[in-house]
Amino acid sequence: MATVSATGVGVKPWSLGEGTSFGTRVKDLGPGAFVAATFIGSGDIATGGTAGGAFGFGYWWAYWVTCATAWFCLDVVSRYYLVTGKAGVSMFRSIPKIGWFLALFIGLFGVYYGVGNVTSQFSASAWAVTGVFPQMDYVLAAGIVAVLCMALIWIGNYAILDKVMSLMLVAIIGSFFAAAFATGVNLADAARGMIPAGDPAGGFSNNFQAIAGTNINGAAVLLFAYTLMERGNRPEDLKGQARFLSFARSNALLGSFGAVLVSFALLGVINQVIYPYGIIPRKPEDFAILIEPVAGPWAIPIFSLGVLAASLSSALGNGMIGAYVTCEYFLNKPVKSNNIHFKIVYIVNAVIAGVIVMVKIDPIFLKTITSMMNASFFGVVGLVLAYWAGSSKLGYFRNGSSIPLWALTILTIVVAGYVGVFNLGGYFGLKF
Amino acid sequence: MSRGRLLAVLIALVLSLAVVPTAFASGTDVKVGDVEATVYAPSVVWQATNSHVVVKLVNRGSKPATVEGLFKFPEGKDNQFTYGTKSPNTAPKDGDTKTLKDLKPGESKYIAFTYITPKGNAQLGMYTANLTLKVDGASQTIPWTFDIRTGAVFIAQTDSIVYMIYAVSAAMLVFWFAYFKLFVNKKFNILAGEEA
Repeated sequence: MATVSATGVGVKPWSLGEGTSFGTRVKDLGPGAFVAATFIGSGDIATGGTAGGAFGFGYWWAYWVTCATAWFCLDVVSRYYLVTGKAGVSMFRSIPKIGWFLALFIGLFGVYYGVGNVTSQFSASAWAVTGVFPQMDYVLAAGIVAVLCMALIWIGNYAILDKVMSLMLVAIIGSFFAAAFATGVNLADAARGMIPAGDPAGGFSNNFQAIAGTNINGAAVLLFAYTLMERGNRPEDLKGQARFLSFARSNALLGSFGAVLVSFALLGVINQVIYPYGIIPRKPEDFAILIEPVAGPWAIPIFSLGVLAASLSSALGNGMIGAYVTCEYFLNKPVKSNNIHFKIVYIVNAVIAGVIVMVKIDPIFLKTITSMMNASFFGVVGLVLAYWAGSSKLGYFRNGSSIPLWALTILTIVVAGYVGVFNLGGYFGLKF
Repeated sequence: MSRGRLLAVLIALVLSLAVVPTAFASGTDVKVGDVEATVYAPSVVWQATNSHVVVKLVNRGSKPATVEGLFKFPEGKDNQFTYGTKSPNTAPKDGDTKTLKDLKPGESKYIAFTYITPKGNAQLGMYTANLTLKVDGASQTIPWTFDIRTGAVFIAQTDSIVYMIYAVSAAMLVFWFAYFKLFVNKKFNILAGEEA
């Protein structure tokens, strides 16, 4: 049973003014880097290509809006964890009356992330490996990627995983910014992209769905609580919890707005190289071959390295959330990455994903589906998180009278409602 | 990371954007009559993956010019490719022509041959296509040599993949239900909620 921390009873929300210094916050951004590396996957590249190819920097504002929503979701997950000491599935299972159904929904999506999403990321990773090592066979590359991920999970050392994910985040940002430097970035266009404008091609709905689907990955949101839990230093007293939240919020900032940073580089490249010709790149390979003529022959390995880091980190992160959620769903308690059932779930799911990858499905379909699934998932996750944000059960950490928190709650409800209706409605034959 | 170091990294990022924006830019430059042309084309193309040839044209002369671009697929191998996005997208044996009229002095414009796509079963290896640019009486042919590599093999419809992924996920959920219920947590109840 989830218990609300008694230490917050009777204390006005957000009245303590406890926090940590900026320097202390940026010293430890491990959980944020973990989540950011999971958030940024091959779907970001496909989505950026579609939105950027159609409208240059025109959709950059949508990245800011969806990443603000993602930050808020990570914040609510942190607050729930601080108050109850529990993570993902518990947030759904403890909703009155429909908790069992929401938990089943999360259980299904946990398995989807462990298999379907990881399939997509393995596939993109394998293509990226063949971009860096042209003579390597695709199937061999996919096998190496899958075995590498399974080996890292089998070791079961969270500190190692944390370092690997941070390193890959640096590689992602470095690689895409290198491509952006090479092609040049039009800062004036970027600034104009911050202001919403009509898409002349009329593709707003589809592009916004795709951007929301990649930037507010419901699984990565839930992953945040597990990464905080893995660290195991949740304070028991209210002041300590308030300080911990400021640390968690800084990490959430990196976790969510890391995608904005990467989108700046990606859209910058597209805006310079691709958008003027009306070409819509859909796959990482499209990007590589479009950038190469302008950026030079080194572009393919450099860009492929970024795609590899993005895909590999997402294969690890999304597969892990799949295993965390599946274990918590069936065991009624969260587990850590050194738990044997966690390892078995990840590895068996990854083996199934690896088999699907061997079929050599066109990665674009996998990425389209991944974005669609993420958006569908967020339709439910966002609404449940909004419920908890306003719930008095969060005690001191409830929204209370904080206007910014309520504004973000409303934004989350609007975005989750929109993408949820759009995507879930599609399964029932509704067209928009 | 200390505040000073973080600030230094941020400043370096901003400066990099401003100082080295086009340091690696490249392309094949030719001059045809009074028109300078830069041809951008990839050196690696994957099976079933689109590629594009983009030509930037600048008129350095004193009077308007008409530029005609003829793109020809590798000789005798046009059947290895599709071209364009409209059906039928058979690659034309005689190539495709794009004409840019009235390119004013000092003006810069582009022509592009887009969606040049090796078929899924295209033979791997090196190919050479040709682009010929004509300006008034002058003419230049620029070879485009590229390497076709293995690409996606199974190109299915989105719906079929969605259903396959759903089916596999549902099957795995049943598998994990059996695993946990039989061997790990026999008390698991699918209908049980949790009190907050």
